[in-house]
Amino acid sequence: MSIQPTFLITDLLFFALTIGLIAFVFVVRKRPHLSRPWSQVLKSTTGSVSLMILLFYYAIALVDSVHFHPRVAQATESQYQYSSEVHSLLDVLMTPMRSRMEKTFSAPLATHSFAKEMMQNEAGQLQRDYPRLNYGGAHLAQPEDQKAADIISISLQASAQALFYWALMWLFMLWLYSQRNNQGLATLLANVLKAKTTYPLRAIAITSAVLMLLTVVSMQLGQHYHLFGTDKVGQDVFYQAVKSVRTGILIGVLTTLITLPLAILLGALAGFFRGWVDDVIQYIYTTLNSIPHVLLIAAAVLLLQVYMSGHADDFDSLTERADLRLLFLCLILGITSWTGLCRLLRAETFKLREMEYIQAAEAFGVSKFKILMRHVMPNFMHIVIISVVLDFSGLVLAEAVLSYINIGVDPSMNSWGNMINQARLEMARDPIVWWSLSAAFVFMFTLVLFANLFADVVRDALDPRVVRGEQ
Amino acid sequence: MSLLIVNGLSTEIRGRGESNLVVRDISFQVERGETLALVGESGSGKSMTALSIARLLPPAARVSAGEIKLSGRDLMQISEREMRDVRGSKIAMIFQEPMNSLNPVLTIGDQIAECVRRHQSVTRSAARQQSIELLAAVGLPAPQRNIDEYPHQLSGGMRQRVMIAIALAAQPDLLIADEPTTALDVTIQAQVLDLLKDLQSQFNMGLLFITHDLAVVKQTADQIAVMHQGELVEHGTNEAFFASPKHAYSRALLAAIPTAQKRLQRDLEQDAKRVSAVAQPEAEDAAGPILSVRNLQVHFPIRGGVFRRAVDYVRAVDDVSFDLHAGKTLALVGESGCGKTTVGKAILQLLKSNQGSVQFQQRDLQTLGNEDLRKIRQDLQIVFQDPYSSLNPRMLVGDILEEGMTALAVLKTTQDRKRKIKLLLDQVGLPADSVLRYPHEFSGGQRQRISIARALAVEPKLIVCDEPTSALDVSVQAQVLNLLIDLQEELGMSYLFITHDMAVVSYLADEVAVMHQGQIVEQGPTEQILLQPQHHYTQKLLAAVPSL
Repeated sequence: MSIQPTFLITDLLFFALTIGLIAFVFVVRKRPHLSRPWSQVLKSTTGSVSLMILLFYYAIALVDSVHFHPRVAQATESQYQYSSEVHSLLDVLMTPMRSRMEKTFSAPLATHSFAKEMMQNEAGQLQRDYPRLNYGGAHLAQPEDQKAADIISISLQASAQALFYWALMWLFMLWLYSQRNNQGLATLLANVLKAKTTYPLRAIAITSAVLMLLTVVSMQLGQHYHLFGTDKVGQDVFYQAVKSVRTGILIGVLTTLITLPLAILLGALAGFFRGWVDDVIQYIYTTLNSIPHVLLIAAAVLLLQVYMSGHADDFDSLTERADLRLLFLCLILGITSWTGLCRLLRAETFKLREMEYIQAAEAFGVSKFKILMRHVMPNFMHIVIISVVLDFSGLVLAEAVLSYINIGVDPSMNSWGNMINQARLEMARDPIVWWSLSAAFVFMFTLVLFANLFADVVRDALDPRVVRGEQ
Repeated sequence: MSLLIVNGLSTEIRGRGESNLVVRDISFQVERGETLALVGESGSGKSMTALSIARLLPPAARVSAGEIKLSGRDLMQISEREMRDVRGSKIAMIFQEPMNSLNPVLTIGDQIAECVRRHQSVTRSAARQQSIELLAAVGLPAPQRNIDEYPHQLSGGMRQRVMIAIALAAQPDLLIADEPTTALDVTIQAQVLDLLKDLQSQFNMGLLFITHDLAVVKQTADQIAVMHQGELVEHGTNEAFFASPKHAYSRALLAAIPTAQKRLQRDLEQDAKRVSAVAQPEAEDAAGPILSVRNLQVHFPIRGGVFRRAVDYVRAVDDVSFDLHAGKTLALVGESGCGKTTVGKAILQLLKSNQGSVQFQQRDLQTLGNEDLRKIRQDLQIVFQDPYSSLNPRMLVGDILEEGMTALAVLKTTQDRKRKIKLLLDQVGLPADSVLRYPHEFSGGQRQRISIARALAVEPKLIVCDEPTSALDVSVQAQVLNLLIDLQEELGMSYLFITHDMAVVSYLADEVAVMHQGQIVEQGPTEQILLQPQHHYTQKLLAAVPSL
């Protein structure tokens, strides 16, 4: 065996969640009345395009969640030696970018360093100048003259490659589709081009083309250049930004997973039973709300750090410690952020429980629990979905703020928050070091934007009144 | 020249890629001092016509053809700025819901004076004086005090009067009243209608009166225009219309109004059927009443202070007693806020009563334990007023119908329940494929049928019908009422029919109990109450009902 797989706790949770999502899709597909609104989501251009982009992010996070220890060297015939470092599948795919370290800052696609250094020239004199980078554009003899042409030729080649495979893939899929539906390939193609298909195939095709182009071009350029430059310690910024996808998605998803049961259960109970149940739940969340969240989070994270340093033997590697810290951060973020949604749901339940269909159910002697499950919860699910997506964006952003005061994810872990935090000091530099910040911003912005767009479409589809245009 | 001339007006609503004509090529005229009633059911385009005239259409809608002339001036041609002046000073509007039409954070006086000062250059104190006069003109009891009050301090009828006062402040030539009395109780409706008539002759205004209520039309209108699916199907004078409606739809509309005469006809038909069938022995009275309510009281606490102690009580139901016999219908009549709905809920044990007893089939419901109550729930069901809030929007119709059967374990197997659901849908006249559809896919009348089917699913002996038709159009109301009567004859249930509508009462009730401020003031057989009311409140209620 050349590798030794390891499973971090967050990996396991992430896989479990993925399996849950797939199971959900299968359940929904089988029930026509449940699948109807979701097929409507897919039929809308915004819905399917943003879903694709979200899935793309999700896939990156998933690939980045397959962890293992690579083999270092063979000590004896039967025994392998494994590195203490933990790598993911994504690291393998992005190999040259991970390992190619420069000395310090360099601008995007640069061939020379960003900072001047004392160097010896051919004549043996000492002079201050911008040194060549170790890897960025190292294959060029005359970087000043050749760089532009080289970048264009690599990009063009990569684009051609990407488009070729893309066209092959789509032709194959359309052919399969036409075979199954007994439709001529030509007419199908014409329909797709005129956007006359039930699902917005043209938009999906364009999106996939864009994604494919971006991926292939950036990977090809990344072989020879630092696409988004390098940071203070010379690490590739593009690689950092891509690695941060997993952190962002995990914080959004896992925290939500912790928030939801608390908010839904307590909100529904408080609104439905009122009286002392309501009093107790209100008391809990007002108390929790009155403590500054940053304080709670800082306390929790510090507690964990103290615990980890006290039990250093229990944690094998740096990665494991960072991972545990991430999980703990999700946990504490979840515990501090359920109150808002809980309040909303409590108020909504107040309103819902006066609805006549709930009284009708009471007249049938339906049990309280069933009324909650069947009549109350499904009717506030649209609020849950909207607030989940808004919170998701908020959490991704909160991570950035927490890193700023050093209580976010572990500094050794790649995250957009850490990137921004590190870039913050260089903002005052002249000329400005803008690429770390911009890269984090672009990646984060895309994720949050499409998550919001997707949420809008889903809400419209799930709320039967909105679909019909009634009320 | 006519005050308002509408000529070939068409209005369309643009949806996703398609446009829908909601008003199709209609023409009419309104003279000064004349009332034109625009009659039609919901969705017939009557409100859209009014909004087109005032150029207040929602963004998706626009006038696609036709001209609208007010005192000879074409309203389609003038700019939005000029139109704003026209809207305040020449055309005034009154809407259906008086609560939503007033700004809750401004006093009545501020809102009227604002309108007065916009159209006349008068001082603040003069405007206030004029506002008081207007409030007196619309018949508010204490204009000097009312002027400094906020909308929530006034009752629905008073708020509607304030709206009329605001509309009159600008001394308009044309008053458009869009269902101004629909949200009001019948006695208040009568007052508001009288008031509108008085003011109209006093100010010599033209009145465009939009309503679905033909009885109101007969009392108020000079000209009647009937709209159906966006088209003007009939237009004529009041007398001519009621004497001989020409269009088939107008006739259907008139025929759909429940009256005592129609009930007699129906009874005769039924009697004829019964004669041919085997005579049934009437042994039900010997068994005693199926439901017997004695001295029922329901009080709602008003909580105050730090510990939310009850400082006082609202006596929603105060000492109510009545009997209901098997297979009969008792109508509980009263205006909004009289406690009739509370009685219904207290009988079903959805609300706890403070005193009194509810005997159902000789068992006192209030002393029953939870388990016994569950069993008896099978016999006691309810149909609610609002078909939009009484069905869970997230549940399939099949699941809604099945819920009661599962909860009360009426039918044990899934197949049995499926069969029963099919039967129920058939009984209430809905297609069998409704099972896999959501409530929002149905119209109001169809939804009410689903509600009725839901109650029927557990084969109850008594159904409390809480204003089941008040949210429906008149033709749909007739269908639902007939369905209820047919089901009663077929299944022999009793109804406790809660309503404010005297016409409905005369159509289907065997006995009537009139409620006023939490008490039953009069009760007895329907004919007796309707023809010889004893209590002065009953007399007032009956006198206020507009009749055809």
